[in-house]
Amino acid sequence: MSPTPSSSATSSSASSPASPSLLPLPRRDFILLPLISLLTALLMGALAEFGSRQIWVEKANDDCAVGGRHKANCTMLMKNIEGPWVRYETNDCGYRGTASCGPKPAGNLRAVVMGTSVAFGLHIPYDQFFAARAAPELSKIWHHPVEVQNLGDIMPLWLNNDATLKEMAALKPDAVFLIVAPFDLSRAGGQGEEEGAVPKKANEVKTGWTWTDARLALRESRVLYMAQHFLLNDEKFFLHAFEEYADPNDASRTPTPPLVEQRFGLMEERVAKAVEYARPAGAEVFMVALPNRVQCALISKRIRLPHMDPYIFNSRMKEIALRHEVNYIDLIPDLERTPNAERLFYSVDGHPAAGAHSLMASAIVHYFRKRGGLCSTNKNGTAR
Amino acid sequence: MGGASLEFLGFAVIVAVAYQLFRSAQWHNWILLLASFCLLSTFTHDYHALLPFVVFLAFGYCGLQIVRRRRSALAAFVIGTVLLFMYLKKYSLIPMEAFLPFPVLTVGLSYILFRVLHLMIDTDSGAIQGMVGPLEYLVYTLNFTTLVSGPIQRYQDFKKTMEEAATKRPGLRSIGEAVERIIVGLFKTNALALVLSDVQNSAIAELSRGGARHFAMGVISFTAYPLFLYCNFSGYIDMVIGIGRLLGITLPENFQRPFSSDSFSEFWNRWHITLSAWLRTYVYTPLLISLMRKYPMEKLEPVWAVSAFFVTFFLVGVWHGQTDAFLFFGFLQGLGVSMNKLYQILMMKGMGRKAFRSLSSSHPYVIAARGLTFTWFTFTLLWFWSNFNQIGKLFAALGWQQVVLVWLAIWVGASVILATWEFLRAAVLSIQWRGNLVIESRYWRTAWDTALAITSAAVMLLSNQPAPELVYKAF
Repeated sequence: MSPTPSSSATSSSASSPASPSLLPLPRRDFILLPLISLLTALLMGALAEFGSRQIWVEKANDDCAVGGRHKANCTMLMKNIEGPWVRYETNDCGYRGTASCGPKPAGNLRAVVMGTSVAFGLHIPYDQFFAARAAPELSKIWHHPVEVQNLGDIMPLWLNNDATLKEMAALKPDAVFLIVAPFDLSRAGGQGEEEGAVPKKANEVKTGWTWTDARLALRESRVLYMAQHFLLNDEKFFLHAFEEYADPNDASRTPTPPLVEQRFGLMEERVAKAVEYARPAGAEVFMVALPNRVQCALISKRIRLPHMDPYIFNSRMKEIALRHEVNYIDLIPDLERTPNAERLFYSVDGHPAAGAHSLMASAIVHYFRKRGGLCSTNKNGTAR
Repeated sequence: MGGASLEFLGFAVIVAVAYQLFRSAQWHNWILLLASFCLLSTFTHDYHALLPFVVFLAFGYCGLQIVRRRRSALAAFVIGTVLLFMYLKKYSLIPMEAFLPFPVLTVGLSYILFRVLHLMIDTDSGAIQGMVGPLEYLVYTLNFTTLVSGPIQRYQDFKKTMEEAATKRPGLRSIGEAVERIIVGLFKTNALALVLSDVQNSAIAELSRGGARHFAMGVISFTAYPLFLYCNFSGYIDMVIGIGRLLGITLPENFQRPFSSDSFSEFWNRWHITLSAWLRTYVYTPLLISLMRKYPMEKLEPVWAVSAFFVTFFLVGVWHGQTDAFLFFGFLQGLGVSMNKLYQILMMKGMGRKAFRSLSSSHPYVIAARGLTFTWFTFTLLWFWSNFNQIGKLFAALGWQQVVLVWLAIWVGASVILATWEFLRAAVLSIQWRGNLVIESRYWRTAWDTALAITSAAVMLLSNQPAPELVYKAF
């Protein structure tokens, strides 16, 4: 710093008449400058899309799928955008897991998991899957090695036909776990089978780029997906979004919309059917109802939104379970104890992440610790 | 509102449109005053809180008028204004019981203090000719673009630019440049500062938790803050300079690549320029001159220069806050600048002016000195964003051996990174097309600004949180 006083720092330098900032813009710039802006935006969008696809990889193809089922003894890798690479292995019946579906080894107890993607353990490595986590502890409580047969599937098989229930009965299970989630409501009894199907006429010749194509491309955009991911990780945003834009037929709405009532009715029919198959096979039936991400957030944060009740799904499922003498394993106390329970889910995909499976496993184990073994095992712990 | 928010920007655009509807200086003054009152009203709706603020302004104006007539009154009014300021800002050396029992609006009061003192002193010295009317006084001291955090502009320059604004409307290029400046400001405050603030908070949290990556977290905790502060403050200044241009008003620059400074005294010529220039004009120079006049010995001149530097930059620190941490921050600023000056004097004496100049312009020296300047500033800032207790905890979490290693790493790292930055900057500045710098081409700038605007929007949207509060708003 010079000790000489100088006002240069605080003095202004006003534009002189010859200053370039006073010259008019050339006419071409009225087109060129907006065009450059637009091109920059497009380039940034393209670079962001490319970068996102490199960073947040997805592999959604189910290489083991065949005719709505999984091939036997098949191994494949899949990756959800928000999750890790997951290896899926199927056994000799095409169920997820490595334990054979043949006659159960003497002295073993067989637990069959029924349900859709949550029961399948979609996006979850098998060792973090709730049944795999719970099995060692259940073996101790039930005094017998527990073998898990996972009839859960990405497709809503048990909700729509009896074939899966027949398979379940043929496995001669000791325990059947019905895993239900709010999303299943819209798929019970053959609903939503057309979902995801892109209407396409045979021999249709595609010409040009349509708005539908553009909308589909945007839906496939990785940048937008990740933008949603970050936004939905923000509690304020996603609760606000839910409040504003929730499905009019969301299971949390009060009073329960007629369509949702109808869905609960269809779900009850499927539960009754499952019990009908499980009981003669000598299995005890248990139900675990996992609320969705928003419901978990509302339960864990004890937030009340107008005309919304996050407990409805679980209380209704509990009523259904009790009506059909199904043992109900309640996750609500665990969710109420978990801070920020929405973090147990993939935020855009909505499926439970490893944290939710851990919570389910610990709730199941806790339930049996309190209750003791299965009714089908006698007092000295001998299996049927 | 006041900070680098979109609300403030929207408000400023409305004011600019209203301002450009008229070509009369008088109308411009009224519009600016109304805008300033509107902005002030967003900080408080309590008239009690506003009253002391009004008293401060009125005291300043009365002082200004009295000083214009009776020059001997200057010292009394300068001291009175400073004491009133310290009272309203609740300086800890005043007993707590003496303060007003209700909240007092003090937003921008520090900057108003500088403007009022400048008016009084320059009126006394004759640098300001003629009477400053009440409207001009209020428009100058409360100017909504500079009310919250400066920059501190001289009245003469402000008056000149206001007169110019009344005679010509900004052209399309000027508006483009204004928008460009606002975009850069938004990017710094709403994207970079936000990210840096989050990075620092996470690093401090991990350090406090006793995480495994102690060393890295220590480096990040300390170095993120000066970068954050730069983006937060200079970004805001960019925005208000841009807003000023929309109005046709030229505001002074407050930053000039401060982290490129290769000495601490040079740093203060590039950081918060208008504050250091004000202090240079009204504290350093008069103090040095009076010391040299009182003790006119050539041998003592370097001692007086070093002492005047210390006092000036000690005041810089003290101005920032009222706690003992800010007192120490001021001490470290004074120490840094005065030791820097002493070192220069001793080196020039020891090895000769020419040899020292040659040494201090050599590349390795400049690189190391730049890194050291950054490191010292970063170190002094610990007492700016933290306090003795928190600093003790952070150092304890690191362990003393690690503390030394962390600061050494910051010096080496800053030297390397800043040297690389300077090299890249020089490389970019060397790219020419038909004899013109590509980076200065409006086509390139349009693309660059679009990219910054999109990035800012993306960060603002995805983070879903407001930009960090303007740090200098508190002073």
